[in-house]
Amino acid sequence: MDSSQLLKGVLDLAVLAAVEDEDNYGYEIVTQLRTAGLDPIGEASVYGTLRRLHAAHHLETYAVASDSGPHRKYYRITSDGRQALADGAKIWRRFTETMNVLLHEEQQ
Amino acid sequence: MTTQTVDRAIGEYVGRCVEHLRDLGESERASILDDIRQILSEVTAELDGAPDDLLGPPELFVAELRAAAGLQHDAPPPRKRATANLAWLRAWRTKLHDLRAAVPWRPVSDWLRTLAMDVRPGWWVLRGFLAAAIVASWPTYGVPLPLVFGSRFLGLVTVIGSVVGSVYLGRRQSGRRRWAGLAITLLGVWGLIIAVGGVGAHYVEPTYQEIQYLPTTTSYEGIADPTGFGLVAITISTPLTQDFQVVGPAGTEEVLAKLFGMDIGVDQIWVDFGAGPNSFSSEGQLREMLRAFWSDSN
Repeated sequence: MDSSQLLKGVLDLAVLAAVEDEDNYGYEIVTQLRTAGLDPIGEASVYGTLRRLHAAHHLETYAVASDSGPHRKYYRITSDGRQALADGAKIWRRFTETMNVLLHEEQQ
Repeated sequence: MTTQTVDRAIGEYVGRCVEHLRDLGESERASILDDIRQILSEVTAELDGAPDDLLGPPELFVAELRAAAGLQHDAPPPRKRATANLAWLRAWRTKLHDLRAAVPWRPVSDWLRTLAMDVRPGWWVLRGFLAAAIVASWPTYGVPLPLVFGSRFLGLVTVIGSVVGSVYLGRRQSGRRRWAGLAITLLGVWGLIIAVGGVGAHYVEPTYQEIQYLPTTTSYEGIADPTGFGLVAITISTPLTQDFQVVGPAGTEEVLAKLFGMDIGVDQIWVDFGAGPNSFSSEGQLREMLRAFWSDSN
């Protein structure tokens, strides 16, 4: 199975998790997700997801001057975003537990 | 790359992205373009390479971003009910809208790229045909390799190098610049024309205009006619080729078998009996005329 297909379903959760503890800008979020192991993730997918989460008021933005180019748009998680992250995390854990049981049974 | 070069490359890439965001509102489009500009600034600061190589072609990048952002292309807005007084005006607006929708406004290069993708299956079929044509021509015309500086070995090296280069370019297709893509496409079309002509006319000889003054004599470029009945120049034209042979009565059967053995549809047969060209349309007619000519000569 292609991991990029799985990733599409949980990208919202991954992006929210990436800014849960610290505000960050788009490219740094991409790097953070890749470093965490989500290698196949593309810049366009992350930036698109950031826009959608912003439109849904799960994220808010502010500009910060940058030495290396134009102003950077930083993303900060909102209270709605934290709630969505908590709900999503519960669903994800339940889902992975179910899948682990199924796969374990499959192996036996 | 210098800062100016990078800025220019980023500006060009962003400009190409605009085409794929035209259906969005102005503020949203501007916001997305700002995002793309920022992504490119960050990526080019970290990695070397052209924007196309780093992010892929703009159309794919924008499509992926829009899919992730939930910004699919909008359906046309529902039409409002026309009042009686403005019905004719709205009808004209609808016609204009339909006309605009029918005209391909996208840049020519985008249209050509789409066209190229559409005709790819046709190219695959043609490629199969060309491969078969080369195999078929092998026994008659020998090893189908180009001569480079008169050498088949250099021809083989050139072919291998070209194939490797072509595959390399094909695999990098998604990341190359627009002008490079166009240049490669034009080169490919040129090569295809040469290939089609080359397979069909592997044995091309001088055209009719070049031989029409050939005197019918008893020898021509080392070909001697032991019978002394005279040599005849025959040119057979097909939709793709012209084949030219000089023949005397002794070698008639062999030469005609070769000329008609091509089996690719004879268009016209021209024969020079020394007194000007004669035209025929079938092998039977030609044989009859040759027989008559040599009978008279005898």
